[in-house]
Amino acid sequence: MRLERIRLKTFGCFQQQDFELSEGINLIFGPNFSGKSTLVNAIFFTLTGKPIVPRVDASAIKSAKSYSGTAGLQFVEDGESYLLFRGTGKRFQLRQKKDDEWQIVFDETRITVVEATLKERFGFSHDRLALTTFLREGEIFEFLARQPATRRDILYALLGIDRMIEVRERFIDARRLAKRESKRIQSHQNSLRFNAQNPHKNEIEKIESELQKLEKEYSRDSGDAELIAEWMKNRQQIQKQLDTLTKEQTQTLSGFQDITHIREMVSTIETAIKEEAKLEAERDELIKTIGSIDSQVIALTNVCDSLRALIENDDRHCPTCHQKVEREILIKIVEEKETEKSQLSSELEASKKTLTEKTDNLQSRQELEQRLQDLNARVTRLEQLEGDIEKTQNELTDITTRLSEKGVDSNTDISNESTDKDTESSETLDKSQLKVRIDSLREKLEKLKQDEAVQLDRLNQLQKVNLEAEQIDKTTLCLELACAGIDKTIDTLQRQILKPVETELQRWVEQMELFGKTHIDLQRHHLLPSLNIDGEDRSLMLLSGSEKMFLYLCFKVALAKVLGNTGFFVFDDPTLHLDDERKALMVDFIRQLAEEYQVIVTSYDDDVRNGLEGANLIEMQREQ
Amino acid sequence: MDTVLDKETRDIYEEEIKTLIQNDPKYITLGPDELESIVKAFEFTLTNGRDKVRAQMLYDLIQEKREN
Repeated sequence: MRLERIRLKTFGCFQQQDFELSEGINLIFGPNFSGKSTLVNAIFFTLTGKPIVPRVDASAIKSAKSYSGTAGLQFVEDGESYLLFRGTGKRFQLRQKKDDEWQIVFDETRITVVEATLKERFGFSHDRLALTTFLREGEIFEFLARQPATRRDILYALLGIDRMIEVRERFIDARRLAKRESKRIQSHQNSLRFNAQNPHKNEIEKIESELQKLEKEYSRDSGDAELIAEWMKNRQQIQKQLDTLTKEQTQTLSGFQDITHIREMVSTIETAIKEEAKLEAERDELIKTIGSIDSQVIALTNVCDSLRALIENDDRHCPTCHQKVEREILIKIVEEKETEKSQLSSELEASKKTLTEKTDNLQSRQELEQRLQDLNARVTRLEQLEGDIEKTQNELTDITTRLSEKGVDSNTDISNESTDKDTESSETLDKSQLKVRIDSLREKLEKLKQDEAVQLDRLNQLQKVNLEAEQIDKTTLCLELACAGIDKTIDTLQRQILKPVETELQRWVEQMELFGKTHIDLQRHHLLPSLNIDGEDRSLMLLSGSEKMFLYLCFKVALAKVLGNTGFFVFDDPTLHLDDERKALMVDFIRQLAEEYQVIVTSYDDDVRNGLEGANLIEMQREQ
Repeated sequence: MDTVLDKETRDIYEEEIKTLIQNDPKYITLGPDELESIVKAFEFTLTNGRDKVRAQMLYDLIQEKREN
C-alpha cells in the first residue's frame, strides 16, 4: 500500500487542506504547534477511527469551530486507487477511482461494520497499526510500562489467536460445569457411603459372637438336658400326633387292607355302575314291551268275549262286516284268539318277572353309587393322612436322630428327667434367664440382618453412583486436558509466529550495529524483547533511552514484516532526545527502511532535515 | 482465521493433546476415545465461536462421546 494524499477538513488546526505524499521518505517538518502530529493523527484516525493518543476522545480532535471534522486518505492498493473519508461524527466513506472518477464503494456509520470491512479488505486493525506501523511520541515508554497481561492481550490480538482464548474460556466454563457435577455426585456418594457403611456390621458380629457364647454356655450349663427335654417333649407330641393319624387311618380303612384295596373296590363299583346303567335302559324297554303286550291281551280278551256272545246268542253275523259266519268258524276263531291271548299272557308274565328283577337291580345301583361316594371320600382322606403321617414320621425320625446324637435312647421316659429338672429349681431360673437373653439377642440379630439387607440395596446404589462419578471424573480430566492443550497450542502458535519476528529483529539489530552478539526472545515476556548480549542476559530497562528507541523501532519493523506490513511506516519525531550521533544513526535507519517501505517522519530538527535530504518535504507553519 | 488456519490449528492442538497424554502421568488413563472427543469439541468451538457454543454442549459432547 502506498499513501498518496492526506485530505483534511476542519480537522484539528486545519480548515481544509491536502498534503501530497510520495514514495520513499516523506518528512513533515515544522516547529512545535505547527500541526505535524495532527497529520500523523489524521492518518491513524482515518484508518482506525480512533485517535493515535490513547484516552483521547475522537471529538477532542475535531476543530472547535465545526460540528464534525473529516480526515481523508488517498492511497493505492494492488494498483487500485482508493479514498477513505472518516468523520469525527462516525461517518465513514470509501471511494474507489474508476475511469478517472471517484465512486462510492461503501458508506457507513456503524463502527463495527466499518472496522470489519477495512480489516477484511485492507488488513487494517487498530492494534496492528498502532504496534507495527505508527510510532507516536512517548509510545516506547508506555509499551515498556504496560502490564504483561495487557501486552499478552495485544500479542494474541496481533497473532490472531484471540479466538483460541475464546475457545479456552468455553472449555474452562465446561470444566467448571464438570467440577460442579463432580461435587454433586461426590455429595451423593458421601450420603450413600454414610448410609452404606453398614453400621450394624460390627454389632451383628458382636451379637453373633455373644449369642454363640451364650448358646454354648446354655448348652454346657444344662448339659443339654434342657434341650433334650425340649426335644423329648416335642418327640412325644409328634408321636401322639402320629398315633392319632394312624388310628384315623385304620378307622378310615375300615376292613380294607390299604388304600390300594379301596381304589380297586372303587374301580369295581364304577364298572358295576356302568353295567347297571345298561340294565336301566333295558328295563325301560321292557316296561314299554309289557305295556304293549298288556294292550294286546286286553284287545284279544275283548274279541273273545264278543265272539262268545255271538255264539251264545246264535247270531251268526260278523259284527264287523255283518256277513253270515258259521258257528264252528266262530268257535275256531275264539279258540285261536284264546290261544294267542294265552301266549301273550305268558309272555307278559315273564316280562313282568324280568322287570321285577331289573327293578331290584336298579335299587342296588343306587346303593353302589352311595358306596362309591363313600369310598372316594375315604381315599381322599387316606391320601391326606398318608402325607401327614409321612411328614410326622420324618419329624419324628429327625428328632429321634438328634436325640440319638445326644446319646439319648428314644424310648427314654422324659418324665423322669422332668422330675430331675424340677429338683434343680434355682439352676433352672438361671437357665431361663439365659434363654430369655438368647431369644432377645436372636430377635435383635434378625432385625439387624434385615437392616443389613436394606444397606446392601443401598450399596448397590452406591456402586452405580460410583460408576457415574468415575465417568464424570474422567470428563473433568478430559476438560482439564482440553484446557491444557489450548494453552500449549497458544504457546506453539506464538512460537511459530514469533520465531521469524525474532530472526528479523535480530537482523535489524545487527544491521544497525546496536549491540554485540545478541539473542532476542519475544515470547518470554509477551512481546517485550528479552535480550542476551554477548552471552549475558541484559534487562531492557537498563538500556539507554536511545538504545530502547532503536530496539523498539527495529521490533516494529520486524513484527510488521512478519505479520504483513501495510507498506508504510509513520514515525512521529523519532529523534526526540537523541544526541547528534544517535540522530545520524536514526537518519540512517530511516533511509535503510525507505529502501523497502514508504516512510512518513515528523521532525523539527534541522539535522534530520539535512540528513533526509531528497525526501518529500512537507513544511508546516505555526498558526499565528 | 480461515478454514486452512483452523485445520492447521486443529492439527497443532491434536498434537499437543497427544503429547500431554504421553508425557503427563495425570492423563495416563485417557485413551484414543478421549483424544477424539476432546479434539472434536475443540474443533466444534473453534468453528462455531464462543457465542454459539455453550459450556453444557462441550460437557455433553465429551461425556456422551465417551459413553457411546
